[in-house]
Amino acid sequence: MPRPAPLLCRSLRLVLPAVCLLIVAGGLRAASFRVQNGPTPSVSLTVGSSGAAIDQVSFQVGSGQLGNGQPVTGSPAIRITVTNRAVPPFSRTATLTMDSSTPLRNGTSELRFSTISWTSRSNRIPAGKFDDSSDQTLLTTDNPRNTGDVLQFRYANSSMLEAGVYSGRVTYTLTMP
Amino acid sequence: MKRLACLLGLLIPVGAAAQRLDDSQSPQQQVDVNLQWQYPDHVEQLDDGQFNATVAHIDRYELRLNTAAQKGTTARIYLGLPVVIRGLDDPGAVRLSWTGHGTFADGTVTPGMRSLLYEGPITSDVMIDMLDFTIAIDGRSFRQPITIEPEYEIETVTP
Repeated sequence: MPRPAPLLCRSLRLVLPAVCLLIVAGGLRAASFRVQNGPTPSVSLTVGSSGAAIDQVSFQVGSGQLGNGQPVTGSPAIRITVTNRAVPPFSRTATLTMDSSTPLRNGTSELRFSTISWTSRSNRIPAGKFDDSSDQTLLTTDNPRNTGDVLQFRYANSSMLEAGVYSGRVTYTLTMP
Repeated sequence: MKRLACLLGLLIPVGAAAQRLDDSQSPQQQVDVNLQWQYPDHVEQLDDGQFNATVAHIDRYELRLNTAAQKGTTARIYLGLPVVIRGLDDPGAVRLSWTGHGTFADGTVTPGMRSLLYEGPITSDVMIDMLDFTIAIDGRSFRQPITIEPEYEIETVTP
């Protein structure tokens, strides 16, 4: 009567076919698709209505209220939208700056932009005040970001002025290195 | 008798299991692809998913699968993706879709999934079709160069 095989040998017989299958499967080549780079990073900025038009905010100050220290709200409110797109390995910081260095003018009379402040509807863009510089930072954002807010401007109305219409322009610039 | 039952228990699953198919006869073994933003316009109006959506297209990719060992059988062929995709921190962030041009069926897979590419008789040593692939990736999960390796499996329906 033959002796039964030791337990170790019986186990080896069962395991061996499975091992052979795994080796064959592992030896197959497979074509691959390689993605080295993300899409081209991009930024966009919209201040007010889209298109080439420049939106205008007006402050109406009556003669009876001129310089009384009661702020005057401008109209309309302005929506600012900032987008900053890149995939994480190519992430970078975009910076939104404002140039308010050229004052508002009424003939030879001037009014500094630092008399105008703003509040934001949802605090995605911080409230603040123009500082009369050419590179005041309003916002920095990392990628990816699609943000925006509605700004309500106010004139401080704390000084007497020559009567007339004062007009000026603030330029917003979004940069990403 | 006891030993026979044990062997059958092992053999049946092995016979029904899918086998990897060799695609090394496909002319292009490594394809470099360029991602684009899937929604390039009206960016400020996009939701987060659309804003970060990227896509790449590989048109007319010639796929050649070695089916010599299964010739004469009826079988199902699948295209799948491994669970882990190198370069992505979230496997759910990639989706591979394709359109066939005659032999293979259209489909879509995500990592760890497979989709039926063909079902029917295997009549040739090599099955060939031109596929248009689309790779969609959520850009937020892109961490380093990504390598996507489709896997082809065959299951014999009748010997």
